[in-house]
Amino acid sequence: MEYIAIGFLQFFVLVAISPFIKTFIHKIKCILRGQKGPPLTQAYKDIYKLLKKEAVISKDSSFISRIAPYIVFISTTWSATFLPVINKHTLLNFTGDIIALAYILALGVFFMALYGMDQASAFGGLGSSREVTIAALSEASFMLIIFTFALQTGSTNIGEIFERIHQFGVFTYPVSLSFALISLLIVSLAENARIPFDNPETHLELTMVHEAMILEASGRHLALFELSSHIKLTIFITLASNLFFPIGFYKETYILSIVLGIIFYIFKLIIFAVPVALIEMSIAKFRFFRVPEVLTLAFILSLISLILNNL
Amino acid sequence: MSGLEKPFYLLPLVIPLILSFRPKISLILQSLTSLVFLIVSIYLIPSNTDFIVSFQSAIPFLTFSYRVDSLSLFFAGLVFLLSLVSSIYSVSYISEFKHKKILTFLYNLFILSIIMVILSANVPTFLIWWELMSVVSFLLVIFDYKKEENLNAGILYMFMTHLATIFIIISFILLYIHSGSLEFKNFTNINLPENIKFLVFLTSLIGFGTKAGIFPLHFWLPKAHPVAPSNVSALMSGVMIKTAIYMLIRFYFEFLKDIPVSFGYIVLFFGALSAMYGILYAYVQTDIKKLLAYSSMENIGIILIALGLSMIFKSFNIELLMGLSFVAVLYHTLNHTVFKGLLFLGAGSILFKTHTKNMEELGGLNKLMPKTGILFLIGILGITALPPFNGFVSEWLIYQSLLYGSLLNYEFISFTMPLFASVLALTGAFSIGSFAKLYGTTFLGIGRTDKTKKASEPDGFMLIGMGFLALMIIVSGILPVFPVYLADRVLNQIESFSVYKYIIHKNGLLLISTDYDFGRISTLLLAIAGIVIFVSTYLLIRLIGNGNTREYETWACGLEESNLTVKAQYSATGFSQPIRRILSFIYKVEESLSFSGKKYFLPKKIYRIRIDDRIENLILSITNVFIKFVLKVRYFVQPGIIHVYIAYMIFTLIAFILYFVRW
Repeated sequence: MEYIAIGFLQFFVLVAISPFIKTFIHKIKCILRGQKGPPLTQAYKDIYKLLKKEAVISKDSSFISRIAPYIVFISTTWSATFLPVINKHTLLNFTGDIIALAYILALGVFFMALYGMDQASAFGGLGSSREVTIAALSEASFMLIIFTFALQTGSTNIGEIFERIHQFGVFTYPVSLSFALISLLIVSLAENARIPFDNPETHLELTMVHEAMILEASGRHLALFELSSHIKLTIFITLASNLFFPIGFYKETYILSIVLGIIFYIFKLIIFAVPVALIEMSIAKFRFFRVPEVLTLAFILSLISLILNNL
Repeated sequence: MSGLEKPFYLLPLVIPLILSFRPKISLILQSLTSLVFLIVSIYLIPSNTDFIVSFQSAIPFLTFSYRVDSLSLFFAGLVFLLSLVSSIYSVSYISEFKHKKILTFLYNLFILSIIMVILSANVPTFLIWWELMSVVSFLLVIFDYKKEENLNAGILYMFMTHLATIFIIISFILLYIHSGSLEFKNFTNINLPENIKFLVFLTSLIGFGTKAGIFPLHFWLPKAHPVAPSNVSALMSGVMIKTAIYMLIRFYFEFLKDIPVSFGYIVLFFGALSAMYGILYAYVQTDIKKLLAYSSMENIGIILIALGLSMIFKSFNIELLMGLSFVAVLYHTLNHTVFKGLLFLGAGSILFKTHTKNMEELGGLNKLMPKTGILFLIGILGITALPPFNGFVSEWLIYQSLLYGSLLNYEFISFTMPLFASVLALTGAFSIGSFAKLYGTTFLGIGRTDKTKKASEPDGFMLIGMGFLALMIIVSGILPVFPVYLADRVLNQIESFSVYKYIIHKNGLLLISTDYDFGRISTLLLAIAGIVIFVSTYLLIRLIGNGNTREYETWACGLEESNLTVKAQYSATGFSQPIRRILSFIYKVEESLSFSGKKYFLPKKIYRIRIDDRIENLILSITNVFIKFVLKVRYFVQPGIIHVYIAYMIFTLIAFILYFVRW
């Protein structure tokens, strides 16, 4: 029973904190640029505002426009239900497979791409085409990273990977995994449409990928898309922070450990969110046809990591 | 199995064929017999059936014998399943064709020949039915014989399929030499020397691989499958190429004993190559059925990956893992039959209503044929292996097998397995891209030409046919227990080993690979969780947020809706342009932009693009060199100059005279 409660708690912590992380990254960027930046609660306000507005959908759209926001949201929350945040007892622990995670996130990408093409708008198709291109090229490296960890821990269940990594502790960590970390960073930037792959702040047709697909979305649909992109970003940061920074509680179920675990978790998220903001500050968005080069780098790095780890 | 040895029970298969002069009755009967036989074969698979029926013919050497065992029943079951559905579908679909009776006759004969190929138990029987299957499918490929494209595709298909048959015959001859018998059952207990074993392996892989469309021998497939009538395309892609997989299983699991690791690795390698090559070419197609045909090549590749893994584990004698990947082979074969059948039938409905299969001319079909749209979407969700649909489960099993493969104590294999996994991930991601393109350009947006305006929902027969397959996709996705159970029974008969208790866990709800302790998954509970999340999100939004929806025109940078031409949408060619450019070394692309009319003020631009299969070009250029050489030799012998022919006559005459004079 308490496992279920912990599972729900983890799920809600992840969903609840995700808009904060997004604003936090944005805030750091603003500060570094010398701007004041929005308050840290801005994303929550945005989502609430969007939920209160009516949804406008295109006359040319079909049922895809109505269901896609929900399915994209389901795909991200699905992953949130079995991703260990502070404890190995997640809600869907028994089915929490890390290969399934990759495919569940792909479900979201697929419906997002369909949504982009549904309104007969030039922007949507542009966004969809680029999104599936980036997703296709980053998928292979993501799978190699997954395999690195699956082979190291002897399981593809996220909960068990999480548990074993915490058991081994941070000091027995093979150095080769740092390559996997860099690779995962690149893949997460690509999957979450961040600079240098995509600029989440612009609406310029030359540069946008993710924003182009959801250009026609409004009201509750936009709120769902926004929230799922926040959750997706947080999922990747959580994954990275738990895999590469295995410190803290992982199976204890008493109240204090959970409270401390949540505090630790927030710290870890903030630590791992800063590099994302720094990368976004220090480089410009790449030209679209340079993206494959970066993704190839990610692939090679994850391959090196896997080989070194396997030898 | 008393009573089953008598041949009468095969008789119902022939009745629809005889009744072909009444197309509709014959097709309905075909689907009914298929249904009955499907139920019978599902019933017989777990009961460990294995018997051989023989008919002695008037020719001494020729005995027709058929073997009914779990493996052949499984594959025959796939044929019955697809034939059941596609026959219902065809009842309406054939009204498009002028020669309904001939089509129905060929269609019924085609189904019969596939079933007989699968049931065959000796070499002559197999070859006769195999040849009949090839010829009938050739006739169906050129059914619309007035189009040049179809004839070319048909001739290429005929050539390739006979090339395949040559290799198959060679491998049978090799087996015959060492066993002294033409019966399949005598092939199983011979011990071949290593070099002959490799030769048998190679010739069978080339022979059956050509039929299945594996990597360097695939290029006939994307030409021949799309031009046949759609119900036939569904059968060709759904089950005909599976006969090759079936025979490969027979060869590598029954005929060849103690296969070395390298055999499995070769199969795995070519499987991975086919999967990648197929999906990369599927990504750039603009013809719906051609895209589906390339995707068949991809899926055959995935099946071969699993088959290769199974063979590798077999040569290491790790029964559990061999069983796991063997189950994945059969599971993915079943899945591919189901969703590829659905997608080809869906493509047929589009063709039926709009008379085009070119994505660039379609668009917005979701508003005109919404039910087809939903069914097609389910098919796509299956084929792109998205959870919780069926493709996902089988691909997940293959991923697990690959993971186990990298634990093997054999350095080369354990090191390359993760690479194959990333190939599989790559194909998964590319298939998402290809099918997003396919669905986005045909069903979403607005119609690109007037051809789409005529579209309407197809009638009940077609929808029922597709709906049944869509249901199968969902059911075999969220309840993987049943297909795994059947596949396991097949495995049990071949290898007398069962993995069922290792894979299925906890009341049959979870699909687990235990013992080596890797992952576990439950698509049913994932689906339930998804529904719960959906309902709660929906209710929450209704509760807190604003549930109103307003329809308005698409934003077009401030232009009026009337300014927004249909051309503003992304085209299928445009959609795949980034990949075409990034991976330009894979495709052979010829692009040209020409201007017609005025040169400077709003000239009319014509953009042409032609994407050729590199391997096809390569192989054709090699054959060209060969043919040129042959022609050159012929030129010396037969130069077309009358003097030479007269000289031939004189020489012949002299030769004869000398011969007779000496006598």
